[in-house]
Amino acid sequence: MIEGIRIVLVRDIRTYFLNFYGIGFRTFYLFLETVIFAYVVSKAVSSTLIGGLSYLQFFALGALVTSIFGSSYYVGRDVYKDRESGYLNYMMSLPIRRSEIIIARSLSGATRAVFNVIPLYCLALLLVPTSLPNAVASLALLFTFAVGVSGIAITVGLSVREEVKERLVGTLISLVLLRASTVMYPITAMPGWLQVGTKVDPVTYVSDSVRLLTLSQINEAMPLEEISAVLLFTALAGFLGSWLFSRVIEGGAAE
Amino acid sequence: MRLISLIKFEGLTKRFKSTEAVSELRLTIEDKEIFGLLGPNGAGKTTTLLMLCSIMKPTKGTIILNGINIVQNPDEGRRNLGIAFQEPVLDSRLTVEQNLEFHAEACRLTRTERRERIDAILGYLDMSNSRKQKVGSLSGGMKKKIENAKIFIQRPPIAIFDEPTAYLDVPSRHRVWKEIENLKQGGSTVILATNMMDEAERLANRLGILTKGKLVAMGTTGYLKDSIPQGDVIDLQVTGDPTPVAQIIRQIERVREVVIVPQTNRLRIYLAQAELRLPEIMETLIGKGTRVESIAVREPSLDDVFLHYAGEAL
Repeated sequence: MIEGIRIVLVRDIRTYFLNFYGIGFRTFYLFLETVIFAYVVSKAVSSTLIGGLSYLQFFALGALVTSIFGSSYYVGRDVYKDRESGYLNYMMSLPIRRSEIIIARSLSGATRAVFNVIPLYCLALLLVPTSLPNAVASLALLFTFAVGVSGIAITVGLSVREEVKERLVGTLISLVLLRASTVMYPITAMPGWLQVGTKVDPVTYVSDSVRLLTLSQINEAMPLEEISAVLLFTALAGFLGSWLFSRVIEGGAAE
Repeated sequence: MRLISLIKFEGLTKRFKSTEAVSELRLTIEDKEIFGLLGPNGAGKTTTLLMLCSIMKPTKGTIILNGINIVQNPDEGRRNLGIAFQEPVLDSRLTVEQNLEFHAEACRLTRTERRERIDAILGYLDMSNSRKQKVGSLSGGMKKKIENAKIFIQRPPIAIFDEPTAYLDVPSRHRVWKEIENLKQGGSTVILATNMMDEAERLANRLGILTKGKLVAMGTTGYLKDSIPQGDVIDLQVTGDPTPVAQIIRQIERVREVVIVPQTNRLRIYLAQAELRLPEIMETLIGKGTRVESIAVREPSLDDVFLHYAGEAL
């Protein structure tokens, strides 16, 4: 079981890092957003609005979630392309179990995202120093969230038939989930109607969890409610992606 | 102990909406034979192979491999199968070697086996210099060779090739044929889907002809040649539409069958003692105002068998 997962995982990670410029640009973009946009905005926003943090610190931690979201979502694009090119059929012809392929692809999406977030995480640690256990806990939570996002991305990659539509759906999902969350701005600054959506958005929970974990002391209680919400999201999204993946790769929709 | 790869298709059917791509296929493939699957484009060959590899689920029917229903136990089937697809399925971002490494590793070959077999096959296929090249930069023929190489490295009990020599130059075709024969010598059962009659005739022990999802003929090359109307073949090329000419010739006594070669103005006439009947045929055609461009008399080939059984579907 482990061997099949390892083989697919290694291949996915290897091919991801071949796209050096794409990955580098995405990280560079968020890096610049943090050091220029967030720095400038932090001069104009009162820290009392955002729980005592400067906007720069607030944004730097939120950018981790944005990065994780974008990178892990990329696995859906890979799945889509693999389906279109016939590579998915090829993988299914190999002596690797379907469940191994599903698990490996979700894990690869999350692993790639965590690799990708490390430069931004270093920047965030400079701006918001924290303890090692809290940093590890934050990364673990981001990884868990990335597994869920990979599940959504795989679902879209398998459900949509045209590349333009696939990109459009991806953009819409990220627009809704990221903009209706506390990833870029605090809930207190939002209009009432937007707050309703924000409160049920899993991205809000992961953003808040990462901020709470980063700022909390070692002996403080973990933000269990937020973490539970992230776990629930990952479980649901992972299940949805796996279910659809198994349906499609078992020949239901393949032609 | 080596696996005995007896494969039975029992009433295998695949339906896509209103189209039946494969219909009630009943077929047994014996251990260590090369079985050729012939058929025009869209006959259901690839769909059959995809079901055999458990990539596609049949609508009805089963596939039994050594007594195990692999529709219900797909993992069991995949452990014993390897397929080289019609269109090469390679990761264009990876090198030739990395693609082959991935396949070999997925098939659980040891590191030593992988290295030895990859070196050997790249050398044999004259691709040693391309091993570090990214697949995306290769020509169609080279990609096809790598696609086949995956199975030559894997050496599975059941090796499946879908149009293995499409896009290949003549020397490469012969190398691929030789390697397929080596697989059989090594104990593999080979299933070969092809449109190339010379390939089927050279490699296959038995042939099955699929048209419109149905198996319409099966047997050895000799058996199939004997199964079409006996005698000689006249190849006739006319000016203009060959359909009315075919109708005229069908009226001539002792003509057993007339087939129009699809998309051409050529006809194949099956009859006994062609040399004796030829003057009468020519006389009739000239009398009807038909202009004959060329004419040749020969013995029937596998191509004729294919046209006989698949002609209507072309």
